[in-house]
Amino acid sequence: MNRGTRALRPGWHLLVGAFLLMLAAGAATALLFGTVAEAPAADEPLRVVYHINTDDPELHLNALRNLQNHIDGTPAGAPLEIKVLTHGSGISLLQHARTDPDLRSTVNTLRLQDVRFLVCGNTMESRGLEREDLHEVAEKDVVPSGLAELTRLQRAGYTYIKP
Amino acid sequence: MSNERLSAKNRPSEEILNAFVDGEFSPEDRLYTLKTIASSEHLSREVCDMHQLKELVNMAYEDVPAGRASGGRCRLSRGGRSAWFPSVAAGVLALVVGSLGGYEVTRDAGFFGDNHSAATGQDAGALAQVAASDEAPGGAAAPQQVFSATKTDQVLLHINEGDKRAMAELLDDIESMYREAASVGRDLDVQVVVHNNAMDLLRADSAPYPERVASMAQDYPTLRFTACAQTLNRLAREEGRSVDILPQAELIDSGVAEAARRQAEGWIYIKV
Repeated sequence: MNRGTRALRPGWHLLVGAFLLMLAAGAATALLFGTVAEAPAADEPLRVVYHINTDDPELHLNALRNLQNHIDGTPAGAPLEIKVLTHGSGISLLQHARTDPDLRSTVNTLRLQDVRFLVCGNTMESRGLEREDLHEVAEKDVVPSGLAELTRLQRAGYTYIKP
Repeated sequence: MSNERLSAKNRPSEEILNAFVDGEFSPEDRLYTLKTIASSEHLSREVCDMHQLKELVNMAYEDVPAGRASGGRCRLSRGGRSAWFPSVAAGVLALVVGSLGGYEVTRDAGFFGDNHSAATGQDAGALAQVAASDEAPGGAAAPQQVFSATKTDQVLLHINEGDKRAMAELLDDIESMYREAASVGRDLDVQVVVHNNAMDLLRADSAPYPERVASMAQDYPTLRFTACAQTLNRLAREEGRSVDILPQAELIDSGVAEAARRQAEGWIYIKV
């Protein structure tokens, strides 16, 4: 029985094993921190979608005011892309804008600042509305399904806000 | 008892040995396993190795006093401070070397800093297509290209208002989402989280569209209707009787907690 060498062997196995384990752990840690530490590029625009689905003129005005504050509060030169998706009963925002001059000018002012107003096509169909019934809605502003569009935009990196 | 016979027939499996080392056995089983191990010198050494490895792993994660790690239990170990100290020192050194190495490798591979945009090129492509689709008339065709970046959309629809028309439109919208997903060849998971004033949607005694909920749950296996248990408990307290939900609906502990949990898991959140 060669007891002496045998007594040494487990120690060496462990040493080498622990060394490799630690090496792997260290590499894994560095990888982990590497992925966590990613910062978004500075010139990446901030993309936001506002979701409006209630027929509440006061809420509409507040939401649009918030939106203007959002734009005003963004540092000059920082790129910002904002869309407003009207859907369900929220489609009334663009109906009221036809008759309410205050609301209309608020919408127009936001549009001049590149805010896009999108309309759910399903809602227009179910309520029997045409584009002419809404305040200046172009064909490209009508999306087939409001919820699918919200999913698509969020998937593409838009932040979701429900005023 | 010869070693050959043991290793061939009576040798305990790797699982049993591990469980033994981890102390997961009852005293009787432990004694029996101990006897088996003691009968073979080869086996005892193996178990002793496993035990030491376990202690070393423990030591790497917490500040246990290492005295007992290589103490009297294993005769083969030399015992005392001198046996484990070099291992730990080497381990710490390896950890530092590994971290630096890992950092260098990942930096070269573009996980850090400047090359960030390359790693997220797919997202950038999707966004470019979103931007492009804004200009396209109709916008019906463009989503297909954007969606091709990922396979499944997981969407949580949160409803807490009791407006019947909004409920009907929600059901319409879900059908339309599934139609659109099918038309672009994408998978879709939808979870409807119902709480507070919207509970009527799923209440067995006052659901406005129970047949529709039933048929949709059948048509779309990935569609779930979930009801907040806290709202149901409150309603039961207020009405003095238990409140049942539709058979297609599932209970969740809390609507708000579920919404938060799903978002943390990467689901898309839409408040309807």
